[in-house]
Amino acid sequence: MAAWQQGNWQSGLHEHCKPTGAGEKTTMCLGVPGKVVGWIDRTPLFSKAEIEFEGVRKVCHMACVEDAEIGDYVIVHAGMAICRIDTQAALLQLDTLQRLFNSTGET
Amino acid sequence: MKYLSEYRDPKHAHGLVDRIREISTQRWTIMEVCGGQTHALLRSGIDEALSECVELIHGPGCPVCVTPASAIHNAIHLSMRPQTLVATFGDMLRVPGNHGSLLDAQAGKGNIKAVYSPMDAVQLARKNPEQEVVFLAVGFETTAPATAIAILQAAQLKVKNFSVLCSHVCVLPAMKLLAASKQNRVQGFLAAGHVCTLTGFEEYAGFVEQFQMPVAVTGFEPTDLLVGILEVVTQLEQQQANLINCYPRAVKRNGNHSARQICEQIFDVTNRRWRGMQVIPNGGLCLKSQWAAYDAELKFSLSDVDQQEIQTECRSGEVLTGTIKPSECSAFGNQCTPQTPLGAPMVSTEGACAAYYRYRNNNSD
Ligand code: SF4
Repeated sequence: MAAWQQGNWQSGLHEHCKPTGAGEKTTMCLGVPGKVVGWIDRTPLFSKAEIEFEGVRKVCHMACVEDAEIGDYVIVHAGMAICRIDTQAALLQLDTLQRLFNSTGET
Repeated sequence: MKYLSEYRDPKHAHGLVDRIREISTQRWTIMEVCGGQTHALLRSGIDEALSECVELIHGPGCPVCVTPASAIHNAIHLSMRPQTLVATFGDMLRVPGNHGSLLDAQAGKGNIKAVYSPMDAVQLARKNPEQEVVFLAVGFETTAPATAIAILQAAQLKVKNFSVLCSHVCVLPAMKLLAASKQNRVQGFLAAGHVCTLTGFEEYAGFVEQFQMPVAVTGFEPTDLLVGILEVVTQLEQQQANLINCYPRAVKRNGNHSARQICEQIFDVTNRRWRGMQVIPNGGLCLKSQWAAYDAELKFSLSDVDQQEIQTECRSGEVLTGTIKPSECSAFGNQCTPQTPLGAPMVSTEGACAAYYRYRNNNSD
């Protein structure tokens, strides 16, 4: 049975892409959402923040998302935050999906 | 909200799969451009769930796979140079070049180090002033900003022993080439979400116009992928060709403004050979002439001789253009495995061959 039928979506991250606290992972493709938990450096071009990914914290470069605030979610790719996640847009899309699919089959 | 589990809801997935099946009157051919999407599709089994109504063709969006053999050759060459350290992403190390991989070179005389980001390579250069640190920069528009930032950092810190072997590639020109090809079977595209996070998707409007094919900017979670596929199938059924952003939480029309500005400061667009494919017009990025001091090719007078690929049984070019599925390569799973890769698509975390090996090998015969 395929993963989609079991509702068993394994982690969206590749095993070896999962960020580790050790900082030894050097794989380039991540593209993972994480939460900004603290700023380490806010010097433009050198800015860094601590980002939490499913419980694991990692220092990431923030030069392209310098306006992020603590508690924001960002997507990190190859050690660098590439965008802030737009909560409103996310909620809107999820809401549409809920309306379309959550009610069906339950009545 | 975690922005992960919400997009793996089986109810949504079932609903979306059913909907796609319902509306399909024929089997459509859709290309997911990015290798990360290929892995996610195979991992979740979406390709199999939809096999009756959608054939998913895997695109060339595996940066490690398309990095030309000449870049690997130049990196190996530099790593053998006295007092020189070549730094690159870990993914690059095992990719076979024409004469072995960076890992092979490392086992010999090559001085090579895997880093997590190009900025780490700048730090290496600062810590080792007696060494020339060269960063082998590969990847799409997603990783190019990091390279640009590293160069700006080096300039600001007056780090003179840092340079970049620039092999960045741009995805849209490759899509154009595929769409224009006589052999093209693709009817609609899932555009690479994270590339668009940075570049925006304005440029894709011209593509849609020119080729009259639907394009959905698509994310990487199962729900994201299914939403993108549903959108493309809906348009195909209605004989429409529009550009739509199905990944609005991460992609804005104009992309990431700071990243774009930083890249514009550093890079020019250039023609670039993609491995296994041909020279793609405007398919790559090179350093602007004012950053020549950071351009390893100039700094070390490397020949830009366009190395011909040595012919091997590896059919990576056909895999990357979606012409064949990895399992159609005779080496797949026997001579070629992730432990003994004959080609980059079997090495990379974004390579289609690695995805098939990992998720489809058991039932491949
Ligand atoms: S299976 Fe191996 S040899 Fe065949 S195309 Fe893929 S990487 Fe090349």
